Amino acid sequence: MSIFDNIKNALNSFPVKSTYKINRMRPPGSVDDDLFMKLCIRCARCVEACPYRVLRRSSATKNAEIGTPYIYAEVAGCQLCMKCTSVCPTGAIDSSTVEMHQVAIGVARINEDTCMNHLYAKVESGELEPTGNMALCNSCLNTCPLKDEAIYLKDGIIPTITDKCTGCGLCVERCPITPIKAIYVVPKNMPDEETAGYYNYLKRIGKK
Amino acid sequence: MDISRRNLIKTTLAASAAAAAGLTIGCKKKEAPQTETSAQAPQATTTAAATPSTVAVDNWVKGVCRMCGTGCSIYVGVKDGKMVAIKGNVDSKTNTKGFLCIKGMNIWKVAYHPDRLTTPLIRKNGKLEPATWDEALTLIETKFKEFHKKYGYDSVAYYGSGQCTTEESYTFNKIWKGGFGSNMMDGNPRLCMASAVAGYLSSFGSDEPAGAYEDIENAKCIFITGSNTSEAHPILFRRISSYKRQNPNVKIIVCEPRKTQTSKIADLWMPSLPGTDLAIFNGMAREIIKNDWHNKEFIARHARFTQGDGSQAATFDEYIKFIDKYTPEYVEKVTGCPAASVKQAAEWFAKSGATLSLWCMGLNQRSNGVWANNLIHNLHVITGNIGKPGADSFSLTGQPNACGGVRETGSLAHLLPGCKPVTIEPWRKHVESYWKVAEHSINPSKAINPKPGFPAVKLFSSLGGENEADKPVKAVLISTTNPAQTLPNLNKFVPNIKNAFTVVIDIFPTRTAQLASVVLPASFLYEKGGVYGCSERRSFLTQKAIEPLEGTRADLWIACQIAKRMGLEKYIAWSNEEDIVKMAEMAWNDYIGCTANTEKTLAGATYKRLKESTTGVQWPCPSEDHPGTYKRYVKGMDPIFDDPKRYGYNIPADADMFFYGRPDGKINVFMRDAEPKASEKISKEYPFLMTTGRVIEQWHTGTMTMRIPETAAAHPNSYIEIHVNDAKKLGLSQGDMVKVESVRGENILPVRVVNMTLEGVCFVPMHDQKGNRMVNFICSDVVDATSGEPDYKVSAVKITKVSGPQKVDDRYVVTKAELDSPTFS
Repeated sequence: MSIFDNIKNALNSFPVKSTYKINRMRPPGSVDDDLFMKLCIRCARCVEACPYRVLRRSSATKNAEIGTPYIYAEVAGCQLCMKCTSVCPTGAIDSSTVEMHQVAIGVARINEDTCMNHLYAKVESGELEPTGNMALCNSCLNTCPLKDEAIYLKDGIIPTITDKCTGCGLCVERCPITPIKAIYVVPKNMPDEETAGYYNYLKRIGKK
Repeated sequence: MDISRRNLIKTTLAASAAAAAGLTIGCKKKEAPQTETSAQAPQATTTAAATPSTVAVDNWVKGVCRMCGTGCSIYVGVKDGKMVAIKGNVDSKTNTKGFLCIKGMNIWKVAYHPDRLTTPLIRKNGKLEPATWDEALTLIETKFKEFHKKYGYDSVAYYGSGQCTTEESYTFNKIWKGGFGSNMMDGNPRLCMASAVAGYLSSFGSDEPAGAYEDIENAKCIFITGSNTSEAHPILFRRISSYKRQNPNVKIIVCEPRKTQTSKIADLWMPSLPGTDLAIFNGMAREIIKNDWHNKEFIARHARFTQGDGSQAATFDEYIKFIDKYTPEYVEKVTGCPAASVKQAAEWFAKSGATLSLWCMGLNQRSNGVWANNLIHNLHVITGNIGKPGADSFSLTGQPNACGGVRETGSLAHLLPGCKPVTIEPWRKHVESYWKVAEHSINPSKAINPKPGFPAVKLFSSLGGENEADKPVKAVLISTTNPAQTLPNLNKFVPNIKNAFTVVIDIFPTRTAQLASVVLPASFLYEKGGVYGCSERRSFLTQKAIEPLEGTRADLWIACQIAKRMGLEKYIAWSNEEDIVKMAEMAWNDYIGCTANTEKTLAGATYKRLKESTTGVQWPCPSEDHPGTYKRYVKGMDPIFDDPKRYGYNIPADADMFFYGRPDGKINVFMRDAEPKASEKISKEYPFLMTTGRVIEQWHTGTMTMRIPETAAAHPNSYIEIHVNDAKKLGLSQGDMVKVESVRGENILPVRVVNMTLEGVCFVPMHDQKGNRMVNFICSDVVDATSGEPDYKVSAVKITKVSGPQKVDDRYVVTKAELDSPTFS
């Protein structure tokens, strides 16, 4: 084992290396993150291949993740064109991922307290008093590449996410609620909001 | 983790060493594209927190939404003389409980966009240069007078909009038709509502629906066709879908080529290839009569069967014989709609007890749009679904003031106030005497021209420079619309707009402004106020909320200045008024006086009443104590029945329902052939049918909504939706860039692979301003022979791949700098 392998293994075994964060996903077709960290050689070919310039790289502040590719959904979600999957030389991104249906890099969730359609439905059902502040929007539905499969409108109004969701993050990019979007993607491997540690979404919006 | 690519290269070096990857890194030095998006971000965050609930305001000013034809009633929040928020009016009758959509909620933001035009511009040596109001208006005056003298009064045209206020449209109409004695004035409702107008006029003899939105909650069956209500009229759609949810027994039928969100609530989706749905309507009529579901009593009392060409009356038997061809099997063959669905739809339509039809551009923007409208009316007549709660043949309007401002004030080439054709002599004489045309007109004929002017498409084909002898129209004044993007087959019309003396009144740089000789900066709706009338005959006053942006002027003021300079100072009595609100009130009073003795009467809707009302007023409303009319043509509801003589109608005393628009009080049931003869057909070379439409986040040409950060981000560019099987055949995958080409023009668009459209049918939203994504370069300029409305919904195209995915979500808008160049980049 060379000295380089030693350094690599040491870094990859670093206990705080995986800083999962809401709305930060690996490229489509990425293998489980433990394996991904072992396989990714930070060559940036996927970043180069992305025609939408959606893939970014982790900076030096992110411990051992430095240089690994990310999707930063609040700015730009993945368009699921699959140009990055075929260029990965190590298999960190599985090159057999060619269809958008195969992708599972995360799962979108909706913040029912800020999503306008949720509020609208609550006023409609009488749960909330009408104040004139309710506005209808179908942006997450309209932008979803798997419209009506990964997301549908329950009762024609409440955006509801199914297990077909790929986690591409386009809905996050296009959600008109700002600055904190009413929809967010929990990346694959991130356990859930509760155990997501420092980056707990609810904490971020001041709920806890 | 968010780092630019330039930094990225530096960190990569460190990273690769640290991670001991052992591979060389193939990063080329490039500009950092990731920073582009962050450059747009600050705007979004600065305006972001301004939701109505969090914003403190000094006062809320009543108004109506600037967007679609629903006519949502709103309050504009004003703080320190600036708009800061919009909230819905919870008392509203249109947007019940004060619901709004994402566009309406954010529309106030455009008023403070840095692109707002603030000074008049005059084109000198190809460049639009700032000028004073006086210079610009003097130039307009000189040119108009010169053309009037050299080429006649019909050489100067006006092209208005369903987004001008009623007062503005009425004033321009009065100036042109009476003052100049020229009917050379049209408006963009010609591109959206003209077929519905002609449909109502030919079937009922009087424009606009009999019912109102209230019918939604009374209907037992709702037939939606040619309308993606969920995107184009989201608030109405929500009314429909929540009603459906509470009343699952209500049947919803949707007839459309695409399985849109609207059809998600439907019990029955009837697919139809673009352009063929008339066969479905005739097929449904056949089924209804064959199964004896028709309403014999209603037919006997209220139907007049008429030959397809409208020439003479026919009998019921002739009608039955005529529609016999449209068997369900034949319909299936022609339209692609399963025969069983036609039967089912016919049964629900006829037997529900109260059926409401809703349609929009899918029927109107067609080469046989008027006939499509007639055939829907036919279904309602033979089943007796008119004049009772929940039953109506209801056309949805696309623009907020197309009904109130343009149809009712008659601001189209063939109409006069009251939506009566200019060819009807008694009415023309009435308007002439009311306006005192003989006294004031600058035209030596001293009369309103009895010959209709040119409808929009013909108007712009006849528009040209002084050196073009075959183009009789030399100048056009364009207000609040963007024909250089909205006309079909743009390659044909763009040079005409450029060569003529074109004056554009707008708040932002647009494609039309790029071609203009003079650009006048307008005030925004909430900076001036005015009346808007929505689809359901409801007029609602928007009060002036804030002072206009410095340098801008209301269209009404501009109209008055032109009137004054053209020698019509006394004719337009409000032209000397200083205060824009008083000016509008005087124009409104003049208007309601003019139409007081028509069925469109708003005589009871005085400014005072409109100011106080939180719900608006539905015509006919003959007096201030009249509550407004929910149902027309029904005794006890429609005030016309109280005193028909006053309105020039003869209604038998015993009639409880009478369609007074036609002399015999009966509705025409036309034997209209379903074949779309004039529409473009697919061919070997152009094998796909392309249709166009709206999305919820954008409005028209995106001049406003592409400048609202939230809505621009939600729909940043156009795309083409292609069926998954077609995509496979063409070897296309999601995001690939394709050339979409018709015989007229081409676009380069990204592909969205979908399974909700019919095979062979593709769809492009119409809002993008980018030169190679403006879909109207492709669209067919075939027009309906009666209404003059173009066929935007059926164009034959071919699709070829040009490249793999590319980033095109640029939220493109025309900038001020681009106004100097007439090329559409």
